[in-house]
Amino acid sequence: MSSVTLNQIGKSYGALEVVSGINLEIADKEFVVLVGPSGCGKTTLLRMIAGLETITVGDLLIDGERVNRVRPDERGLAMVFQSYALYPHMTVADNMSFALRLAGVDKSERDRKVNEAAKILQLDHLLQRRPAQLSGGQRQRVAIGRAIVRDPKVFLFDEPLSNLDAALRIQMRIELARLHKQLSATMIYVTHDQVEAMTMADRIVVVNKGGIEQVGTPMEIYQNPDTVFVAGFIGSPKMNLFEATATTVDGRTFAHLNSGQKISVPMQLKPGTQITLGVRPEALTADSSGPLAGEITVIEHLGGETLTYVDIGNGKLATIKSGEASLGQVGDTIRVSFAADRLHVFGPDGRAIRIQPRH
Amino acid sequence: MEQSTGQKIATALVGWGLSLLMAFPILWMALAAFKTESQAIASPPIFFFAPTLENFAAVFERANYPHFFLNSVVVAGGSTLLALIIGLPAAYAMAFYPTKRTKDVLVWMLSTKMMPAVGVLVPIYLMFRSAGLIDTRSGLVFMYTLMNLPIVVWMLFTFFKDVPKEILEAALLDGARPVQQFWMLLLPLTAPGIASTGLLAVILAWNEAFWSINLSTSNATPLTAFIASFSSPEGLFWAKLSAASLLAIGPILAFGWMTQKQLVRGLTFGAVK
Ligand SMILES: Nc1ncnc2c1ncn2[C@@H]1O[C@H](COP(=O)(O)OP(=O)(O)OP(=O)(O)O)[C@@H](O)[C@H]1O
Ligand SMILES: [Mg+2]
Repeated sequence: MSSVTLNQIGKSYGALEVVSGINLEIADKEFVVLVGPSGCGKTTLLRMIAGLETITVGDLLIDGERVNRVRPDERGLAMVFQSYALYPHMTVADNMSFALRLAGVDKSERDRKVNEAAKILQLDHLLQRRPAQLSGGQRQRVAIGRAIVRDPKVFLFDEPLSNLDAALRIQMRIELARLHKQLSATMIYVTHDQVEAMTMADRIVVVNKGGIEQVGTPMEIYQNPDTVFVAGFIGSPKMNLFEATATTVDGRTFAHLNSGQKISVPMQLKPGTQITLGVRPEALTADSSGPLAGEITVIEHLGGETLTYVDIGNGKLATIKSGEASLGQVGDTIRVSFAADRLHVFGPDGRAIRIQPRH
Repeated sequence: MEQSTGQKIATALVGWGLSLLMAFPILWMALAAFKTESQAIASPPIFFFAPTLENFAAVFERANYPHFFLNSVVVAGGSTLLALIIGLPAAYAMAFYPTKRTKDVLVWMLSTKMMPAVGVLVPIYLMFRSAGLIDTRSGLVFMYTLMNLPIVVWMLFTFFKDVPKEILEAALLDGARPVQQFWMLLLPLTAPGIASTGLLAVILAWNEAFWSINLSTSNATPLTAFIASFSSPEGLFWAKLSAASLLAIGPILAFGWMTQKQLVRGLTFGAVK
């Protein structure tokens, strides 16, 4: 059992509050990904859990016990740093066994554990090298190995893949997911890359401006974003977001887009309400009877799929994701439609106004 | 950038020219040490002559060179050791547990080096006299330690600052106490820097003349006082003075030559990769 509970956690540097009111339950063996833009407080949150940063307010519980004042090494956590933070003057084997050495574990046991971890991470042949003699991906694996050897209750990762190239990042992503299954450990993973969050997480925690925006499984978050921020942050290409004003004609509600056009909205809204409409690019289709019209300005062929950018007025671009075939040519005017249940409506406070529950 | 042969030759010429210009006084002194007194003061200067060792013979006869040499070794070595023993924990505390005033303390320490030493000669002399430190090796060790501490602390501080914070944090999570972090991580990681700091302190102490001449008379006199003793009483004897100087700076030049790799490595070592 290794659960982590955050109760009303906050962090201030002097008068500057960088994290506030964080409530989160992380269950045993769960893979939780904290995702959010740069500077939102992800690292600060992780470092507070690790014990590298003091907690200004709130309670941190590990396995139900309050650990706010427990020393980092006694919390039973291991952290993998973005910069790897390997000990440059030690061999890979010594790096990995350092914690055990400090804990007074005898040599044969240390070697056994290091070899075991090295096998999992395919580091066997590199054990006698120094960090400087390793590639980025290998260093990353050593950093993970150093964590594994300690048999921690919880693994903490701070953007562990951001220094790797794209191909290696995908490979390590898969390896980490595999490792999570193999070790059946609790993992808390910080990233600003929403693809990593979507692909690896059991649950995603979207963080913004020092607070939690939404917690949920990747699909919940993708399909039912609670706020405009989450809607725009999760998903690639980004969700189309159109600012609009609600109007009523003959008892039916319309959204009058700031870019000029009008769309009917399947809900009752007070006329004059400032709203934001959201539609995922893959939910938009070319349809000669569609409610939106615009001129194609850019077409991007990505091979299996095509992104078409349509100017729907005042330079506002709508992104349409379709299959291999083009929807037209640059300069063509097309009409676009979408299924009513793929429309997201956000109120003036940025929170979702649910049309109907979606599952 | 590729250089053409012409550019390479030009660069070499300029480099050698400047180096010779800077080293000229030393080279001229080395030459003079092997001349007779009349050759040494001849005008126009003489470049080709039959070298003689008579100056060295005269110097050795008049002064007890090993006595001065031993004093220099003890005073330079002792003060360097002491400065490191005090400077290492000081720099460690400032680098890893800074307070609001740490930067000010550092600047203040360095600012003490901006004051001419002669400004505090009288108070220091009086204090040394009351403490019975005049003309003692421990007095000079003490003085040189104080003299070098600001530079030693500054250098160690910058080397410690270069150690990535995450490495120490990783060690903290691995269960290393501060003392273990110091011995198992910081010392090995900054060893080249610490070594070059020590070397620089030895060189500065070895070459120091002002305090040694003013605070020692016979028992504790290091080699700088040895040179000075040849420049005063019976008028100037260029050749003998040159021979004495050569004997005084010889060991430290050899020391610098042997350790130059270490010095340069330490002074240029940046981020710990
Ligand atoms: N020691 C500090 N003093 C004052 N403010 C700080 C300190 N450390 C971090 N902050 C501020 O706290 C906020 C959150 O920082 P944090 O490093 O947690 O962001 P992050 O979400 O990890 O961002 P990134 O994705 O860029 O790593 C930032 O605005 C940062 O400027
Ligand atoms: Mg961060």
